[in-house]
Amino acid sequence: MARQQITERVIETDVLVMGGGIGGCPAAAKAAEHGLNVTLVEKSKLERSGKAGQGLDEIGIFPRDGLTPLEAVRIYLGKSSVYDRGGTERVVNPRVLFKLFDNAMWALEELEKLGVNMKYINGEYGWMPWGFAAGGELGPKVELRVHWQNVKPEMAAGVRKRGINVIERTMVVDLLTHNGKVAGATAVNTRTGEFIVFKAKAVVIASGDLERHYNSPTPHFWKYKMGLNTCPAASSGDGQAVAYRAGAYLSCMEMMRPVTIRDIVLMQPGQLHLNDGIPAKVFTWKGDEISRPPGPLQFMELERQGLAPLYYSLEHLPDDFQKRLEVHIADETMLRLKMSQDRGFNPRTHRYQIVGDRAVRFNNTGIVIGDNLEALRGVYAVGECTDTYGIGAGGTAVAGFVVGENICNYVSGAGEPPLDKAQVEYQRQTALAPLAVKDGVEPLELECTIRNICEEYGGTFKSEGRLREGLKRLGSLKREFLPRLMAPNPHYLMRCLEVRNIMALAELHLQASLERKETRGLYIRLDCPQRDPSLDNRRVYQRMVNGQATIEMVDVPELSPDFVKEKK
Amino acid sequence: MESTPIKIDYRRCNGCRKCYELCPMDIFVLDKEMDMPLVAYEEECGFCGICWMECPKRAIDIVYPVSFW
Amino acid sequence: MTETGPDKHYEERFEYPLWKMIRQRAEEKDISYNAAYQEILPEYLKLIKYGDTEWVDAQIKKYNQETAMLKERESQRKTEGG
Repeated sequence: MARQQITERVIETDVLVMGGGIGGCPAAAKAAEHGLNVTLVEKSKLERSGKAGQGLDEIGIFPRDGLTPLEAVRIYLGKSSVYDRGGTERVVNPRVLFKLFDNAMWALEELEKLGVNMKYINGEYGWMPWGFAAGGELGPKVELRVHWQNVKPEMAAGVRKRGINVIERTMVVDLLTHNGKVAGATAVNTRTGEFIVFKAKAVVIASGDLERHYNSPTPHFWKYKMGLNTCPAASSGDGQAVAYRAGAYLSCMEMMRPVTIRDIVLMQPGQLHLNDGIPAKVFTWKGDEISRPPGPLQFMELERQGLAPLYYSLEHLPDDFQKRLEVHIADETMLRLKMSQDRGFNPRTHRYQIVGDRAVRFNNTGIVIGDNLEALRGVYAVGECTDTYGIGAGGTAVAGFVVGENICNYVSGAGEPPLDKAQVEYQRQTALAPLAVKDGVEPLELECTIRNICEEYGGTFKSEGRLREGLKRLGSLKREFLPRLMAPNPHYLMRCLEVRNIMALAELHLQASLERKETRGLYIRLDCPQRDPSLDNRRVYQRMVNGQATIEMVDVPELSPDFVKEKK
Repeated sequence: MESTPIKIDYRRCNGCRKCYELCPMDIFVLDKEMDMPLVAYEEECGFCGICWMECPKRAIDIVYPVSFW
Repeated sequence: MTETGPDKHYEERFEYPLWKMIRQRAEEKDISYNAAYQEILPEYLKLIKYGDTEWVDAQIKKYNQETAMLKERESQRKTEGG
């Protein structure tokens, strides 16, 4: 495609929301309610974008039934949930967490106003207990059971009704800044190649997770490189990369979370661990039950003893709960019903192999956000691109509403953002360059190479030598192959921009891993096998200053009694 | 030799373009002559099943590829 | 290797009762699977004891008690040096 064919336009707006998922839609809707001019830019289509696109079966946590927001924070920070398997390996911001829990019930009402259906049990909410409750005790019922196969169409309809300018099939290239304040962003239409310059007083980043710097345990790639278990379009870390390049802090880029089952294309952790209160049981391959699945090091020990692999089993579920499970699966991704049937993975009789020694997913890592969920002056961030989003979709939606509610305070005093023409030109050149490259590198191939580097030199069991070698190789790939990415059309331009983001974040991931010289929970440094108490409540912070990458350890903010009293 | 995990049955397809509109990975294009959707970026399919469940004529069949197992 | 081990089957095809209902409704009315599910869901939810909190709580309690006993056995084995 010739560069001359690229059209261009400038759009002025008060608030630019980057990402139309379960965080971006609430943020846009709420900001528009306050009379602001809002533009929502979405890489795919609002009705089915993001991780909630296929559907959701549960959201939480909502402090109720005797659980206060403060207690919820304490439990969240301190408990060893099945996801953590033995320790809190993520270090989140308790102030933001408190804010999210404190606003959760309000956000529920706002979701209903937006047009999202939530009351399914005789017109009432269906509350479920929170994860495990040990010792015969029943935990508070703070998870909301939802049948949200169509949450995104419902939310999208609500957004469209509020006069928000929705720009789809468009990917943000970078933020525009002026004197340390946000001025907007540039973007590319991934079908027409149109280059768009947004002049915005404030930006909300709600672009989702980072997962594509690693492989998934399923599938094993031949040609299907995006067959990851969650939305690949929302897993390229676009928001984190864009924020980082604009000078924001990213934190905890070394932290990882386990991927639980081998055939994760069929069964999500939620259906194994939550499932309305009766979780899966765990068995060795010899058939002995164990009380909980082990972390990677313990898994290796079980392997040595000849007891691995381990398996999740749902055979003990009463028929009523088997029915609930079917509905859970259909709510989250209906395709999995059909796929399980076709291969004979029947939850009534099948045991699901556990992947015990792979930790690839990030969790609560990314853009550092402050008390008002701000990352930079005029830049806010919600959801999985941030360092604290609470628990999944529930926390993200809450964060979206909170930002949307308060952003007018910033916008009213922001003034007109001046556009830096040089900045715009640089971003245009960077974005469109692959269109002119002949005989270059295919973006998906480079992406897979980056993933191989992270698998081989990062991964679950890290060590200094490996990390340094991995960084050398990544650096070499970046210098030699990134400039040679080629895009015969705008669709591939999107993949090139994604690879650019994934590359940057993979580097940060390995560098952060070098910085944290200890083993803590699921974060494992083979060459530093002990937990370093001096790193308790400290996080790795990474930021660009004057074009240079910086890295340091910073204390996690305190949740002070004053902050709790002040609320909202 | 080509096997595709996403198969469109054009006898059933009514050209509504829902798959093309909704695909999160944008793997469809529109065939200009037939005015029907085509899978153009097959290896980028995320197997979310959205096209399959949204198609009003149930014209899309998805089979997980062998490499998933 | 026990009878109920993972070897038992990997390819015995089956059909979820829910999926059967979705498929049949979709074929009957010639609508999308999504649309069929939206119709089926309220009917299927009636088959589930969502409202019977006593029964549900009892099931969860039973599971939790079994888990507690298992943990007890495991910690005993540990202290015995097993």
